[in-house]
Amino acid sequence: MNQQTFNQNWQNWFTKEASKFLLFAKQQSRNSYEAEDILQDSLVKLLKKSSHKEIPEDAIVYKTIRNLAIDYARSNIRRIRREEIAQELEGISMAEWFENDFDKKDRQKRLEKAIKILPDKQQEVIILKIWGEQTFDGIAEILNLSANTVASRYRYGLQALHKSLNTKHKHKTPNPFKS
Amino acid sequence: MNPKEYDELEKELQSLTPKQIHKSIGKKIEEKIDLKKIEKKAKAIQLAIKIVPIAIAACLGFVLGLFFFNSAKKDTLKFAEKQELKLPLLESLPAANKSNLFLGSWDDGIVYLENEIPKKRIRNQFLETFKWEDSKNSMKIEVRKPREEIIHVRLQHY
Repeated sequence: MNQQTFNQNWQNWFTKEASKFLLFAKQQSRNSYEAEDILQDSLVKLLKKSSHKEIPEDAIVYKTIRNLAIDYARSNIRRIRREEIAQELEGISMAEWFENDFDKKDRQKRLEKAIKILPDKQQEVIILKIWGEQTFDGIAEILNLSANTVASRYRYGLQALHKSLNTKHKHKTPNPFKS
Repeated sequence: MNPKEYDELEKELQSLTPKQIHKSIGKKIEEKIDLKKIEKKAKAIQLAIKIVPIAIAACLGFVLGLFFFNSAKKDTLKFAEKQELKLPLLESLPAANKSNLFLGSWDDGIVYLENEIPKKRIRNQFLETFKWEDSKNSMKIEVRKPREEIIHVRLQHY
């Protein structure tokens, strides 16, 4: 593949696929800015690794995003806590994960909210399965887990979502899994 | 929760579209990895790939040309040397003709030599010609040698 073709392919691939990677990065990070940084760094790292000749595979991108998110969390743990507290105090909601469809706005908001309050372990599996279009085996490889664990987390996640959506909450639902 | 409910929920989740990424992120990544620069570099490499063999071929041609030119020159010199070696020694050749032609005599007048009485100087000029012939090679050699002879004649006392 010559460089000009690669550049064209890269631009097409990025336009088509980047949003799902960003969604996963948002789930792995604490805010949208950090998610964008993580995605950016991951793609740069992978492109440099392949000497700008190959478009990286989805599974590798997810894996790199996850590893970088862990590194970011370790290095910025104090700053992140401060930002979280500040956000809580100011009442700033978390970054929006999905596009708004005006007709289904309320239902979408409820869904998004329900996903966000899921435990991180279930969130990442659901995101990779539904929007990342990965198989259980693929997810297992990305997350370094067994396929059975992934499948059960997915099932529990869906159950929790179903339960959450069918329960009417009058107040903002607290996330029991996030301290 | 039965499998049907799973399917419905999955479909509903799939209907959600992840938020589109801002174009600036793509540009930032392109800037970071500098795709345009890489493209230019790749073009330069491709050009070099095309040019280098031509340059190498040209250099090789030049070197070969130089080599053959030198070898041809050496061959010529060797041939000449061989030819020279083939030339027979003059002494071994039979002299075909030898002549000594008197060209004339010139009176240079009186000359005053140191510690001697004045004398009259006469200059005689000759042309000596030597010819050799080798019938085997049908080779002819002719040497012409001008010669001058000066004679001092005592003057008569009065």
